Amino acid sequence: MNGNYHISFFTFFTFYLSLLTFHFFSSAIFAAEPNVVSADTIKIKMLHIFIQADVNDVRFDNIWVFENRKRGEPWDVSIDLPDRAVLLSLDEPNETEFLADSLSLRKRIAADSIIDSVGFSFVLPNQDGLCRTSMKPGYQVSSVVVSVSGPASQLISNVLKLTSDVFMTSRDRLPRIYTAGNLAPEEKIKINLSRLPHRDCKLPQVLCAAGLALIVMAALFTIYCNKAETNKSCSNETTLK
Amino acid sequence: MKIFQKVLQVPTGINLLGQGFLAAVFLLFSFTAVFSLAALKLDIEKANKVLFLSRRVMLVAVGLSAAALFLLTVAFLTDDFSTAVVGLYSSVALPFFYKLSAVWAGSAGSLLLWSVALFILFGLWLTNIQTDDLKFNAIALSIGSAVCLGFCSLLVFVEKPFACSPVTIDDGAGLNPLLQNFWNVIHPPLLFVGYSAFLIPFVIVSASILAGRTRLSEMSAQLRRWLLFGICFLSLGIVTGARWSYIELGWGGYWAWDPVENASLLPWLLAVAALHSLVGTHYAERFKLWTVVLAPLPFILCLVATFITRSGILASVHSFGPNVIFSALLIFIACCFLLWLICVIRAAGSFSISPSPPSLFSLDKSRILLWTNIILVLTAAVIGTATFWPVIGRLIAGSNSHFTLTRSFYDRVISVLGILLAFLVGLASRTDFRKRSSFVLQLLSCCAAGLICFGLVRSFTRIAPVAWLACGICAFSFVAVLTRLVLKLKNAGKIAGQIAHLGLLLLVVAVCFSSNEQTIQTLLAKHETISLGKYELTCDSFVHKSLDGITKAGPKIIVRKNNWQRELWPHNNLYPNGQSSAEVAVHSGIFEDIYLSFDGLTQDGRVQITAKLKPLMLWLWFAAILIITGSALAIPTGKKAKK
Repeated sequence: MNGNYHISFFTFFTFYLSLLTFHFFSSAIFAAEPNVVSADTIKIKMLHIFIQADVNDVRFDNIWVFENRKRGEPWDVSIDLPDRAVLLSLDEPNETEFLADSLSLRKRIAADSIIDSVGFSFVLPNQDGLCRTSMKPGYQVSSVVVSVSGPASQLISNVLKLTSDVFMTSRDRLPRIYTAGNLAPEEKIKINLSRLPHRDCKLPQVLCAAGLALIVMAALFTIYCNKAETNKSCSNETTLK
Repeated sequence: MKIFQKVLQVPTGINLLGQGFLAAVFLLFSFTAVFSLAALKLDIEKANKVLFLSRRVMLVAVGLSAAALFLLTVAFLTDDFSTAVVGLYSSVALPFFYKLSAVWAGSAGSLLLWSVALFILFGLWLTNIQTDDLKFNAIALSIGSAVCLGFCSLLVFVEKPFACSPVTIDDGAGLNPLLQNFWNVIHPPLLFVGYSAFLIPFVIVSASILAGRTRLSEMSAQLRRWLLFGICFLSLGIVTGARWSYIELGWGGYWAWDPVENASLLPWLLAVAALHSLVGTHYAERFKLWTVVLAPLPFILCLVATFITRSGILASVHSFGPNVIFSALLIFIACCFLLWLICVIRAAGSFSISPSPPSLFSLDKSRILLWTNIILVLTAAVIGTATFWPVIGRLIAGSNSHFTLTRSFYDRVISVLGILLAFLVGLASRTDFRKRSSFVLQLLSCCAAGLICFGLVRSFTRIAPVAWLACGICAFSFVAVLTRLVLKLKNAGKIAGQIAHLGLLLLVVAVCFSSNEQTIQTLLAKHETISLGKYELTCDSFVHKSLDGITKAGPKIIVRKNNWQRELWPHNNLYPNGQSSAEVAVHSGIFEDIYLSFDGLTQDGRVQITAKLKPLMLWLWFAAILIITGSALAIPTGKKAKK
């Protein structure tokens, strides 16, 4: 067997496997939109969104970090969830109020806080899609970090820059990280959560599984032969006697 | 053909070779695991031949796995971004040193590193094994190879370190700034060598029990050596990790009772307990069963640690996040646990245990060792339960429940258990004195040292009462150990043990003190001064530097105490890829560390800093060095000690 044969075999095999797994799914939506009460004094310092997508649902774990530019007064923040969102959990349920009718979260933050955060999780049905969102007029986001996980999901965005780095936060680290900095007001974000074709070559795994089965059979065969040989020599001895 | 390769990412070059090597290693370990087990059913002559062949095959597998690790390292060093993990954790601009450490920055690379360390140590043990017992050899080879096969399965079927990159990229994402630290370069390899060493006690005990060789004396020298080797390297791994956490702001201090940190402590505690059981077998029969129960457990707990780090089951800053390895690793752990359980049940039937165990409250050496083991196992059980408390809570009360034990829980419980251990160290040293006059003299000197220390700490410091007690007890034990070390000991193994005990005593004191740190968080204008304890901190200037594309910015702080003065520069690093990290500035003194971090700059030009006074940190590192030195010195002394 020469090298070309190997490559052809690999190519054929991988192509076959890729065909089987080659389908796209798109999923949803970016995140809830913030509605800041006093836009001139508050800016969103960091926005961390952890997206876990499967075929049916997309789960969003959010941390919104607000910065108070004008300290000395208590301040309110509110975040609107998208339509059809189901709130799963709040990081600080005693301090954050959820208004089910308007699908919004409200939190009063103490006057002496420089920064404070609102953490929450919600789930949306996975609609084939593109998510388009834009930053509202009157406020800006210093930094956005989106982490994506799920079966072979890959985030493609016009604004978010792929870093694919392991970013560490107080939550679990997720392998697919996308960041963007200094989003201007009304900046548009388009996100397409699309599934990449499965490109793993399965040949080593298949070979290993087959090899293991073969080795087990060979071992059993060796034991069987050894037993037969022993029996034969015993019967020969009996005959000689 | 090339178009197909490009579109479908067929492995080529290093990826193809790496995957091929790992597949070959898998098959070779399959051969050794299956055929060495089959050897039990063959004639003696054939069985010997099969075992000889299996050993050779295993050594080839070890060589190939090392070659696979070498290939991955080459992929990182040559910026081969066709390998997915290289693109994820390295970049062209990354310095050589960090490209090397990027090999084990991800889950797949670190698993490969651990596997190779495990295979090499098992191979090393196998080549030096000195027994003609065919049954033992066959079972040991089979168990060891099966474990290696388990690791190989994870590499071939789950983690896939040589998986191709799904996209073509010219440059990788680079290494996370928090991982760009000298201590991270050496921490994982040391930890993995420690973890790997515990495979040998697991194999020795399991194979001995299953082969019906329950005479512990035959295997005690090997058990002792490998337990000590594991303890030594695991201690090194833990300490380097603690040092890394200490100087990297994001990790939250040298020890945060994080699930991943706790998981590395559990095998260490049980390995120490197993070592003490082994010592106890010289004094009492019952320790044989203790040894059989404890010696294989560190390895199983190392697998549990891997599970915690890689499964995402517990939230931790050190974990790799949700991972597909979850179920595969769980099955692997269950298999090892089952084997351990079978061995324990079989051993319980074979060892003769005295019908009425003597009182726990007498003071001979075996009782003290028994108490030591009880406390070590109890400590491990408490830490293990507390670590899994969120999971237990979720199982009982539903997925939305939050059950997390705070740091204060660990501090309280573990400080009490640590003080008890320190007391037992002192008692154990005292019991070697047979003459009544020596005994009384030593007891008086120990008690006096303890009381003086207790009084001094209570009078001159403002720390928690538990620390007074810790100081008193540790001073008591310190004098006892030191007296024994200077006056009595001639045996190198026992001297090494006492050095490690001194380390433990210092560690207990340092840990009790270090929880009493002073912290201030403040805004400083230029030339403004604040006080922290006996020190004065002045903001001198704001400094920007650019080095290798990394922008470093932070305030220069002058620290003064009487006529002494030092300049510290806590700063933030901004990397070319937009990532940033905070670098603390630490001045280490004999009695306290000054620890500064830069939190930000306000619009009016003031700097926000956090300043901490951390007591006895240098003692803590010195204590760790003593423990490591003690265990390292004891490794080659096994045979002499036995004689």
